[in-house]
Amino acid sequence: MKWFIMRKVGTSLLTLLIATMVVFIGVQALPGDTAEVMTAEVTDPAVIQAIRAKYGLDQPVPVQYVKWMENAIQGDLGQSAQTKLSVSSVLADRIPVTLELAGLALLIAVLIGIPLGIMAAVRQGTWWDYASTTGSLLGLSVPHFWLGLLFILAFSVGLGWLPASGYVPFFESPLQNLARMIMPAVVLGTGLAAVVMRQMRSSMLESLSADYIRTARAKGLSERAVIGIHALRNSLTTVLTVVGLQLGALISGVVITEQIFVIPGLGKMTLDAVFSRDYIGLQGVVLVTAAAYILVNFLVDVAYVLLNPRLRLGGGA
Amino acid sequence: MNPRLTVKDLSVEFDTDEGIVLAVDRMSFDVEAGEVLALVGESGCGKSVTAMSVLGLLPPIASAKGSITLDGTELRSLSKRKMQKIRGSDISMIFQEPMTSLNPSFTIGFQIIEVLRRHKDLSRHDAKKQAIELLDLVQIPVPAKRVDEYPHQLSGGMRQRVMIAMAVACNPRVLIADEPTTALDVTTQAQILEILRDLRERVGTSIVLITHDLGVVADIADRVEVMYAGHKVESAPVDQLFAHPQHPYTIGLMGAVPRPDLFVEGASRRLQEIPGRVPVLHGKPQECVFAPRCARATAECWTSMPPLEQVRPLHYAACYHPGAQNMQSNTLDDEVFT
Amino acid sequence: MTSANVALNVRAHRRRRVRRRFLRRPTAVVGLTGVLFVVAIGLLAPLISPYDPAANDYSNLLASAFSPGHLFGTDELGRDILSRLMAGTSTSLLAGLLATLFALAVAVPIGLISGYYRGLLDTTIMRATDVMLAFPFLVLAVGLAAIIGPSLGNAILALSLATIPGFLRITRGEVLGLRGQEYVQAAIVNGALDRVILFRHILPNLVSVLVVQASVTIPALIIGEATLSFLGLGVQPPAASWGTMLSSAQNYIWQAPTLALYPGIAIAITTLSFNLLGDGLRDVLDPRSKK
Repeated sequence: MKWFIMRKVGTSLLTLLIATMVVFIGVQALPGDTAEVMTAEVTDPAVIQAIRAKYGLDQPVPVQYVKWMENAIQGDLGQSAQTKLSVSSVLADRIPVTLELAGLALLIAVLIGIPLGIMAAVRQGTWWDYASTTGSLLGLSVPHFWLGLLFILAFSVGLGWLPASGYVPFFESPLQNLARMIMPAVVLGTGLAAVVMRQMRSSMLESLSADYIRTARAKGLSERAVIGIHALRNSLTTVLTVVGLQLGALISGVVITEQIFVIPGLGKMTLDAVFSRDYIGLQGVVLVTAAAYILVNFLVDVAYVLLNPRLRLGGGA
Repeated sequence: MNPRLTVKDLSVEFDTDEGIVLAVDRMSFDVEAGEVLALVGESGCGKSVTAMSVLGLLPPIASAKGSITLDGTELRSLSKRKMQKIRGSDISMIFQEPMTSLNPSFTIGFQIIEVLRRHKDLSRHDAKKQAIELLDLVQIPVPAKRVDEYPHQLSGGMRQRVMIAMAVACNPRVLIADEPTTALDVTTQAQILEILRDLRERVGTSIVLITHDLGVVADIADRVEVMYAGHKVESAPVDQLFAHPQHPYTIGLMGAVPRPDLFVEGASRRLQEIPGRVPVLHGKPQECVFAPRCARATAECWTSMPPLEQVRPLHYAACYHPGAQNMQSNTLDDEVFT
Repeated sequence: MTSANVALNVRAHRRRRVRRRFLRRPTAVVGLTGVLFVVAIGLLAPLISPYDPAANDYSNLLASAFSPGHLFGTDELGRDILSRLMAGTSTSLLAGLLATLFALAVAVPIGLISGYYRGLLDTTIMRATDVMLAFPFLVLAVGLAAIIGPSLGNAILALSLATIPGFLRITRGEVLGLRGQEYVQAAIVNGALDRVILFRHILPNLVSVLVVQASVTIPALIIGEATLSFLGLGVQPPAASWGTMLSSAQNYIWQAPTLALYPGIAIAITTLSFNLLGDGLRDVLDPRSKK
């Protein structure tokens, strides 16, 4: 198994490396010249040329790439042309925000999706099942941003309970923070909950029809033990994998949700960077996002192996 | 003597998409203490359904009627909880597919300890010790190491032995074995049967052995009940059944078994197949269930299902034309099947 | 009967059986009906639309629903909402379908070759797919739209590019699985030509998986187009798209809250129908799936 992990680390790093190249080249392809953007007020070509030389923007692309990577590894992702702020420091501010949002969404998704999925499987065919399945399908069909708008309509415009936008750091005021986070988290979590619920139901149904469940019942175990221990254990690994794969969708959702609720996280940063042509910032945030996604995938793969004794120990008949 | 397990007039119906299916019709049998009773028949004859009924493990689409008593206690009237207490401790069961009958995510030790602690008041430490003893009992080598292994690390024969260990962990009075050796090779089969025989002798466990393999029956059974299409068609002590089979179906089964010892020089010994297939019953049969495939069938056989009647000492058959056929001789009457 | 006739008969019989099983599921039928309804509106929009979706009417801004002449009211420029909804239907359907078809057209051949021939080509393609999958869907789409400029066509391109890796993986996975099947092995051993194997043995089985996958991808891409348009990276005004309608709705959410409802409901109905259809197809076509 160690061999497997080593190989996984290798491929992940390779993927990450290529991803950085793609990001860099992609940004190069964007319209607009960074040097010109930086020197918006100045029109003297000599000055622009000097700026270009200073930032190494006249070097061939591969050289620029290497320089960028060198800096990046040391934590320096450059300086945004518009805001003059260090990209790394901005990222450092924004990452915890997105983490909180994503974390809350994940929590909501798991707390809703897993129990509902189990219930739907155990009570297959009853109205419980149909209601949850239809509900989850609805959750999948509704676009994030519309759900967000609806929530704002209902709870901010309509009832006036929650603020429609903005962000307050948790440690400043937990209550204010949650008041602003709850809607976006629920919006994000709904789509994910739907996926989790469907996958949980499908895995449980498969587990429950297995022979070892018949054996467990024949041993005289209570129904709760049969479902909660034997069936559940085998279903969880599948659900974990699916959830892991959904994290990419979660990141996509974060982009939109932060935009609507005006939350200063990575998602909003991405969009702002695109719209304001802040290419250095864009480079940084896309890099971080891709790296995070690759990391999560790696962890999910490893967890899957750890949880599955057949893969963990290998060998046997 | 009072039999340990009594099944009386057990009938099981399944409510399927294609209508009601009668899987078992008024099945009755007794099992004495320390006896090995074989339930024999083709796939689909209702023997597994009978076994699952005894344990109360029928699926929701099934409805059962009749009486099942264990040492005087009527099992069918017990609450779900009480039945759960009986399963695994008073009556236990082993199944056909050892590959899939064990949970792949838990160690075999865990799964044995589970049944021990469910029915007995044991500490985890003591339970583990007993689990290791049980593994030793079923002849698994190096049990102390194996107890922490996962099912996929064991061979099919060993997995079946683990199943047996789990089933006898709480000293059940009755062990139901549903085709325990069908999925295993012949050598392993012999070992498993040896373990079962040992159980019967040492502890006096009653065993209900479900099988379609007459070789296994000859090896270990004391008495045999032959089932066809949910009905009992013949019942006899094992040597009687093999020496003097009465029901045409039983005779057909015997004829379908390759018997190298009956090879006659010059005469080719063809395996006798029983033409046709086991019917699916949708209600009580209006004729003998075997009539469509039976060469002896007469008009009488088509009017009603023959009742089970004694034809020889301790030997019963449900047939209007029970036929003696001496299986010990080397000559074979081909008159039974055209 | 020649073997070709037998094959045709078997296939026709199978199609009948599939159709029968499909019709027996109420959710699938509802889905199909919904899809047909939406497609009908999309196709007929120019004909049955009460107003020109781009016609401004400054005398009747932000009219509420059921006001005279406007069933769903008007938007901030006086344009009839119903007409814009209809026009948006065509846009969204077009985007979803075209993007899916384009992605399939690219991903399936590559996936077939990659899965069938394996080797260095396969490894390279899989690495490339991994890299593309490292970028979350929306980030990729946003980035692409930013590079090539905002317009409906470019949004469709961006969406299909973001979908290709997923289809590639599925195709390749199926091909790998099918290739290992005994009947394919037998064909290979018998010396059948590669393209014969691919077309006769592998492709038909692939079709059912891809049909199911396409039917759940189309709604996802419809939402994708709406999202991109919402962000200003897709359809540009004055063209109507559900996404742009929702974007303006957000700006006027305090004055005219109901503006945000209609486009969203339209999206929800459309995607729900496709998803129900996809679920139904999956139950019927893929014998391995569990309902």
